[in-house]
Order: sequence, then structure tokens, then C-alpha cells
Amino acid sequence: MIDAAESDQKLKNLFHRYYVEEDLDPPDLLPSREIGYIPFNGSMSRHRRIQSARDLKYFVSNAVPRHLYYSTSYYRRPDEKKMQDKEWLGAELIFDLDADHIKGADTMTYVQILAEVKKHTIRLIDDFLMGDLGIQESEMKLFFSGGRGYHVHVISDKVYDLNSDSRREITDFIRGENLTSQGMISSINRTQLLGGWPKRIDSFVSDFFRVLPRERTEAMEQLKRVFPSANTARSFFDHIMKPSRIGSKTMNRIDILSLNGIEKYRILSEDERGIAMLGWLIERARENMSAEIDDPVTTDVHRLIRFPGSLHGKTGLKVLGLKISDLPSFDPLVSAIPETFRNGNAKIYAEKEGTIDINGQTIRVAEGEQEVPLYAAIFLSASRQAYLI
Amino acid sequence: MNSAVEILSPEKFGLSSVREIVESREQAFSETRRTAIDCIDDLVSDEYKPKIVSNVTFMFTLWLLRYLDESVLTSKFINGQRDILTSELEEFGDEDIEDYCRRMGMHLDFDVDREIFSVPFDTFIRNNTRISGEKYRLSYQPVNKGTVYANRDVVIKIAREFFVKSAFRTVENISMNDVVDVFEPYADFISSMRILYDQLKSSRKVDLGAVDSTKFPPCIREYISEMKSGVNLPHLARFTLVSFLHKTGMTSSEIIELFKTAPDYNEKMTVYQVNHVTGEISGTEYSPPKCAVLKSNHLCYMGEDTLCNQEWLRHPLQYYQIKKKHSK
Ligand code: SF4
Repeated sequence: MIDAAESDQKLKNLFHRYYVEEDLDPPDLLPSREIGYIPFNGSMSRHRRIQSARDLKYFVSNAVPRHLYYSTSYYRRPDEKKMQDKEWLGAELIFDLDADHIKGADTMTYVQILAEVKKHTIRLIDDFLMGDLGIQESEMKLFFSGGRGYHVHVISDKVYDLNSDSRREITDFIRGENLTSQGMISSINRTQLLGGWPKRIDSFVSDFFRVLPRERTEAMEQLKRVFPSANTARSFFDHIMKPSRIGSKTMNRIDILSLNGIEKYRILSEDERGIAMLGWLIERARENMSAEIDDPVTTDVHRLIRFPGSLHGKTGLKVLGLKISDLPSFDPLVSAIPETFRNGNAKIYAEKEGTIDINGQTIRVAEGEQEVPLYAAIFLSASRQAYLI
Repeated sequence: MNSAVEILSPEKFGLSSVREIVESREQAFSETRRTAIDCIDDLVSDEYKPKIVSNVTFMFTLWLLRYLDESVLTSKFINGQRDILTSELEEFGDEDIEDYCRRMGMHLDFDVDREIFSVPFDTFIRNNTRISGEKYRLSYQPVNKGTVYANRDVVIKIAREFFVKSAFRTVENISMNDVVDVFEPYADFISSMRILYDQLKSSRKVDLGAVDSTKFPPCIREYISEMKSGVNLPHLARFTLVSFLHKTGMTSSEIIELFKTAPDYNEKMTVYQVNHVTGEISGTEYSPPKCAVLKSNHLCYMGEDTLCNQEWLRHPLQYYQIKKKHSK
């Protein structure tokens, strides 16, 4: 007979071993943070204050959290129960990238999900945070969440005191929210092409028209995706193949649309078809260039987030800090396995057969009892795919 | 040289400066005192017309307002000065705008060759959130390496928000003890102002007529309460409020009455706006915007409200209709 409670107790013992043997990586100003955790038995406990790394060690080895969190905010009195009594002093700016926000995640494997989320994380850091907002690498901390994604923390005087509304400006910006064809047409001017979304959209639109075939039947393949009616698609194509003035010259509209610059907006605002075309292109640009972040995590200035170095209760992997430059080649399923769990085997019982990819190998799990590497046993039992026996 | 009102730092204008003004017999100082007192008097009796004042008079008035401690009146004064500032900045050359902003502590640069301003992105998002319209969202800005490139129209909008925020912060940071102490000679004046103000307030109670405001969604309730507590509503919130109230059956004149409590109440403008939205001028009746629009303009206050948190809730009016149906 398998015993779920016993399996859970074994898992807890292993977590305990981890918290005794390894050290966490506390955030700055630990005593100003609220600490919260979910134990192996019971529900979330919040509003704790921990004074030092030593106290922290003592606390986690005793409490053995299944999940451990800290507040991204700094408070004067983090252990007060009511928010207004805590006295908010500021907060890191946090981005949470997770499978939940990735299109089609439900049909992907864990490995595929991690790869897709990584892509968005790289976009977030390179294009938006560093490229647009000019955040320096030294002002950022990057963590694998231990689960299905990454956390990016911006730790800088520029952001601590931003309120929730200002943070929403940032999330809307990163997700490319509110961008509409009407909005672009009515606000565009030369200055706007100097950066941000207006510049991205400009190159995206030019690129689209640059490669659009100049021959109707071929072009229709593309345009049919934009316009529900083939007639409209055809008439739009015929329209952009006709010339229009640009400065003192005359060019076919499609060639004006292929140039970088604001002239294209004049052409696209000529009629409804152009406006619909632009709307479609803006949507595609967003899909291709935005980063899918979980915005409430960023806009909530009282949020708790996973504690660096703690174990994720649903995987047994650790919340691991990494250098931004290491991200492209980072494999969480190898690096986030704690040292404590690297050696040895454990016995499990699985109700179903299957495979998991971990530590650079594919491990087959058969139905019934078997021995697997310890880290795999922990992963399988934490994610409820098998029981420790 | 162009000039515009400036908020002075506590080092330049603090307790000792106020004391000097209160106690001095010099002509210039008595002028300052008189102007500030007139101003308070006008604010209380609802006859305030914003006038250009010197920096010292401006600061001195803020101190008196701190003493009076009526947020609606403080707002009215600050908003009035903000509007003067705006029209002054509009007359300024670009470099004078740059100069002025820097003196206020708002860091930006003007690039003479390209004729554009560079605003640090964090300054931008600290000050754009109360400005309605997609054009002012960060998503629409050319932002590169931490800089938002902006033309003077955008910069003036940002600067006026910056001014309002700093002015409020200045008032908040004045210690009540200092105020009570230094304004000893004015204690009777202030208490008479308070009595007068309370009388006027109670004669002007907000009346929502037959409309049941307990069924209003959080956003609308928030706008009403902000307005009552003297916060200046952004344009879109005002528009939403008017069109919402109109749709729920309030008449134009009832709505105008309600707006009389607003800190920046302007009779002509309000009548025009209300009649415009309700269709009396334009012939088109406007509806309040969808929740999505309010959300992206920081005007949604759904919090934990269960109805607002329903995925299908799209519109503040929908909220009202559902609540009304349930109460029948
Ligand atoms: S969800 Fe809609 S109705 Fe509710 S507060 Fe937000 S904007 Fe108003």
C-alpha cells in the first residue's frame, strides 16, 4: 500500500536536510522584509520578521517550509499584521515570467515551457529593461523560480518609491498594451521613431511590406490572413500598388510603406482597409516582441516572492540566482538541483508510467516500485507524479 | 526673463522665514501677509480667482493652508496656481522650460539641435499617471536607454503634475506644531475661517436625487469621494462620472450641483462639459468608457470587489444594472 502522508513526511525530511546543509541567499535589508511561508502541513503563515542570516537558518531548519517567500517591499515594521501599520518604505520592481502567460503552454512539455519562458525573459531584460529603460545589469537580479519560470528583480533608487500606477505603466509598456491603430495614427511624429514601441512597430510594418510579393496572387496568400474577405484583400493590394506622393517624388504606396519613417501612417490612414491592416500588424508586432509577464506581481507593491535559495515545494528545485549573461545557456533542470540531492538514489512508487527530463538525461518511470536518482525521486514526489516509499 | 511660481525648499523657506514674515513691520512682508489672508478668505468663501503671486507669498499661503487643514481648499489653491503655471510655461521658450523644470528638481535636458527634451523614464512615469489619453502612456513614448524623448507639449503636462505633487508634498511635510506655534497671532482668524467654511459646506450637501449610489461600481464611488475630499479628477474620470450619472438618470442640473464640490470647479466649463456629454450641445449622448479603458488609465479601483473581478464584467454601467437587478 502506498501512503501519501508518509511520502510527504519523507519529502519534508529531505527538505529539512537541505535547509540544514545549505545556506540561503537573503535579500538586502532582511530585517525590513516580511517573511511568509507555507509549511508541509497547514496554510500560509505571514508577517514574520527575521533579523539576520543566522536567525534565518535557524528558522528554516525548524519550520521546514514547503514554500518560502519574502516581501519585495521594505517596511519599517514588517511583522505588523495590517498593511497600513507596516509602514511601507519602498519596493523592488519585480517581474514574474511564468508558463501561465505563455500561449499554448497546456500542450507543451515542462522542458518546452521552460525554453519558451526563457525566450520572454531574455526579451524582457535585453529589449525592455536594458534597451528601453536603460536599467544596468548591476541593478538587476535574475532568478530561476524553481518552478516554471524566472523572476527579475530591479533593485535601484530609480524604482523603489514608484507607486502601483507607475508600475502599471511599465507592465503595460512591456506587454505592449493599449497600442491601437487609431492611437498610433493620431500620435505619431518624427520624434516618436527614436525608440520604444513606435520604433518597433515602424520597423515591423516596413519589414512586412518590404517582403510582401509585388505580384497579386502571391501577395494574396499573406493578405488573406489580414482581411476576412478576399475582395477587400484584393482591393487593398491594388490600392497599395498605385502611386502616391512622397515629398517631391512619386512612388508606389507599397514602396512608401516599406520605408522606415512616418510617411507610412499617412498611407495607412487613407481608409478603413489601411487602418485594419495597421491594427493587424500591431497585434503581430506585440506577439513577436512583447514579453509576457504576470502584471499583478509587478503592480502590487506588497507582494511576496520566492526566497532566493529556498526550495520550490512542487519541484524540489531551488530558487537559483544566475548571471544575466549566463541565461541563454542556462539549464535549470541541471543547475537548480541542490548539491544535497545530487548523490544517491531513492525508492518511489508510480501509479502511471512516464518520463522526465532532469539533470541532462531522460529518466523512464515505470508503473510500480523502482529506484531512481534522489533528485528525480524528489521532483516526482513533489510534483505528485510518484510517492517516496 | 520669464518667471513662474516656484516651490521653495525647506532650506530656503522654513519656519524662520515664516516667523520673519509674521513678525516683520516691513512693507513687503505686510503685503505678503495681506495677499495670503485675502487668498484664504476667498478660498473659504468660494470666490477664489487664481492670481500670480511671488514665490514667498505662494509658500506663505501654503503654510497658512496647512494650518487651516482643509484638503479641498489646499487643492483649490494649488490647482489654481498650477493653471497659471501652465499658461506661463506655454509662453516660455524651450530652454526656459528646461531651466524652470530643473530649478524645481525635475531633471530633464533640452537638445537644441534636435529640438526635443529628454526626460528620465522614471520621472515620466511618476508624473504621467494622472494624465488621461493613450498618447501620454509609456507604451506610446519613444523611450531608449532610460530616456523618454518628448516634445514641449508632453513636458509641460509632466511639469504641471510634478508641480502639483511637490506642492502637496511640501504642505504635508510642514509640521503642525510649527504651524500652530508660528501662527499664534492668526489663531482667531483661522478658527473664524473654519466656522465659515463649515457653514458653507453644510449648505451645499451633495444630493444624488433618486439615484442609488450604493449600487455604483468602485470606480465611480472613488471619483465621487476623491472629488469631495478635494482631489482633482483627471479628465477621463470626470467624463466617466458625468456620462455614468447621466445614464443612471440624473439630470444635467443635478450633475452640475454635484460638481460644485470639486476643488477646481469652474462654472462655465462644468456646464459646458456636462451638457456636452449628456448630448444637450452635441446631439450625441456619450456613454462611459469600458473597464479596459479605465484600467489602462489608472482609473479602475476594483480592488477585491467580486463583481468587478468577474471576467465578463466589461462596463461600469453593467455593474450598476446588475446590482440594481439583484436588489429588486
Ligand atoms: S472593473 Fe470596471 S466597474 Fe469595476 S472598478 Fe474597474 S472600471 Fe469600475
